[in-house]
Amino acid sequence: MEPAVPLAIETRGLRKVFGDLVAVSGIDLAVPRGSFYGFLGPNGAGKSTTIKCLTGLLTPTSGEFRILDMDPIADPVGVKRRVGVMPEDLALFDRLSGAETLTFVGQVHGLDAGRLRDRSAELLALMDLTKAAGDLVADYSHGMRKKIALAAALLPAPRLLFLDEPFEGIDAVASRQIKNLLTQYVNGGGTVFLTSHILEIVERLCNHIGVIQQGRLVAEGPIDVLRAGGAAGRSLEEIFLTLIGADEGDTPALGWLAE
Amino acid sequence: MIRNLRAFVWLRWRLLANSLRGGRKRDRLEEISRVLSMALPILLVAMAFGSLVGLVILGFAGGRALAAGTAPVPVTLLVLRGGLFVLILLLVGFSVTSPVQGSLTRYTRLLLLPISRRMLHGIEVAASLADPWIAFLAPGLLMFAVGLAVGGRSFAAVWAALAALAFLAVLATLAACVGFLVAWLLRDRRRSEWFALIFVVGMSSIGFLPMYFAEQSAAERREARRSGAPRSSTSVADIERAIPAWTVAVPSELFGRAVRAGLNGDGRTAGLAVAGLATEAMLLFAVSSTVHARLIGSTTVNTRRRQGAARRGTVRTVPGLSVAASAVALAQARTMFRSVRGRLVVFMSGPLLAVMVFLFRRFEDIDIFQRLGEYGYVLAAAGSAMAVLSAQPITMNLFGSDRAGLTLQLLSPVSDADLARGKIVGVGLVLLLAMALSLAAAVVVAPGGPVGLWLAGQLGAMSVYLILAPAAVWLSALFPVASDLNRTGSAGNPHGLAGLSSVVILAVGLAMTAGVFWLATSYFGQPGLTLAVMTLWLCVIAAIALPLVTFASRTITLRRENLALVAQGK
Repeated sequence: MEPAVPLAIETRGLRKVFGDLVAVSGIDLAVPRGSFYGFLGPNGAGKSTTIKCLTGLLTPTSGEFRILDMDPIADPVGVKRRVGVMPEDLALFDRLSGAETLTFVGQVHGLDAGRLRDRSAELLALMDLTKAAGDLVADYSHGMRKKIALAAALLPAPRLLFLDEPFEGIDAVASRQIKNLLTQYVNGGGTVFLTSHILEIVERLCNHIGVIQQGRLVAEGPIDVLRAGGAAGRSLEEIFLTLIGADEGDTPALGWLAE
Repeated sequence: MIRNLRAFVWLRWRLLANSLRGGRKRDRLEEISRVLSMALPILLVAMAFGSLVGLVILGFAGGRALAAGTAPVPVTLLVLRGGLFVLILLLVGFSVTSPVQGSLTRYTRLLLLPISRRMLHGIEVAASLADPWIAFLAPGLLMFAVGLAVGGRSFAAVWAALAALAFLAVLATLAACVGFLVAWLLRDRRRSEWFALIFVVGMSSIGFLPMYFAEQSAAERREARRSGAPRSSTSVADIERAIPAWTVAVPSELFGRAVRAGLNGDGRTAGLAVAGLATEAMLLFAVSSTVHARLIGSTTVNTRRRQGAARRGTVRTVPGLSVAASAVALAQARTMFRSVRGRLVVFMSGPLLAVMVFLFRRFEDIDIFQRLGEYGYVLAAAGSAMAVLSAQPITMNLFGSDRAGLTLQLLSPVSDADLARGKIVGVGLVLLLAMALSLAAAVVVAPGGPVGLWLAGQLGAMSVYLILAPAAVWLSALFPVASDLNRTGSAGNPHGLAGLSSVVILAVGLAMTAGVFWLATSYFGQPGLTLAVMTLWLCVIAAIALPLVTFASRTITLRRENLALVAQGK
């Protein structure tokens, strides 16, 4: 079946198994280019494993997938040139400074010295890290580490961004700036694939969502379409809880807490 | 109190036991890797159990023999005091390097518990009685007192038992005090790095002292023989006289005095010795309380950042490497040089050997140091070869010590061949620095000799590194271990099999290179030609090794998933 819009990410039967544990159970993702895609799921649902498979950190046990119309198995380096990733563990060298981290990323992406310097300076300023650019990443706070990891993901101007929990631990000012930046990026034709537990942010930013539970994709599509599927005016949180079958009625009472 | 104490004893044991075990196994090779790396802890546990049983038997038999008069009191007590003194040193060493001290989040968690700080301190000190060294010693010491009692010396047995309890209290408070101090030092990144560096340099320097004093004593004896003085044998009384007066307050000496006084029926002296031990335990408890208060008062890791203008990363490339491989090489060199292990490679190898030669070359019977003192270029080459050997924790675990940095490299558009080349060149850059220092130290200690031979020796050391390079890539990819190059203990070591293989390869490489050097020097007899031969040797080795590095990089492709998990510390 030919997709109506070009896809940034397309998977068919993507499956990842660790021993007896089926982390991702044959999911079919279709992430349109230029979309702001929120990938949601409870803890341990398989979100990070899926991202790791898509970014080449894990090899899928079975299934097919394409990133920006390229085969990541056949041409992993080519795909990586066009993709930016901020993974779960942030992927930073503790013993490089923030500026050196950006230099490293720029060099491996083949940026010339002038562009690398200009982009680094802009990104450091945007992330409010200019003063701390010479400090080792080991000395950064959690929020600063997140910001430099995001800066590293943005530096090569990728066409697709994978962001694993980008807003967790980031202050309100930086959070606003990053949201604006990502919105501009998507408006410019870029695609963002993000996971977040902060559903209000996903609701505000994303135009597409996919929901994964126990390794299975339980829903996927434009957020408006999913919202229209149920009672009018439902929040994303209500939709999400319904989809994963964790409505309020299921919460155990724990009567001993009131003793 | 008892409930809390039980929980803390359990916590210490679990932290220790869990530090020996890995996480979930991933694939068959990883399973084999885990089994191989578990062999050493299993061997240690088996030996430890044997030692415990041996100590219990030895304690009982020793006490009984002393009571029966079948063992000479002066010799037995000298051995006992010596053994206990060594144990005190081991205990301090263990408390410094214990994996239990590594957890920075531990005290934050403990402070959240519903236990007062004073109670927390008391429980932690008491729980240190469960530390392996103390747990090993306690039954042996108590059985020593039982042996005395069974042998009919009840008075001495009572004092021995009291002294044993007081001695164990000293050990527990000492272990706690050192443990708290180390944990406090580790709270701050820079402080902890300095501590690790000073600790390793200090321990290495202390390691020379027995050899130095033994050589000095041997030299004095030789001098005495030359001057015709009669030869005398060393008696227990001589050793007792040689023990410095200040050691009277050392816990092992106080324990020995209490036992000796008990055997002599001198209750007053025995009581004073036991009281001395008890006082020391109380003093150490008080000091440990202060250190503990400092420790828990600094639960936030406060690091001082570098002052001054922010340094921008400068774009540099390594000649002969692609831009991506250059970036990997420079990142490798920077991260290696900024780690404790990396700095030890640079600053310890050559300079340390030069200092040893400077100190020991005056002793006639240590031929090797005299020779190295005569031939500075050999000393420089040996120092550089030592740098290659001491870089083994890094070269044999090229990917495991990057941790999250490896994820960044795996996510970057870098081919596996470039990744391998960059890693090898990066370590090589730091080794060049170490070699330059080794050369400088050797020039200071043993100047002179043809310049050609000095340079040839350094080319030889670089050849040895290149001989190791393909195996380093291959074994690092096959057996990666999540390691921390800022730790001095086993947490910074490569996989045992990779480490062992590197020693064998380095020995072979060193022998081959030294053979070529020796042949060239003996055959041509001209330094310039030796330099030419060693240059040719380096070129031949590079021509073979570099394609092999590229070939070995295929293993990275096969082990990519495993490496990605190791990068997450799994």
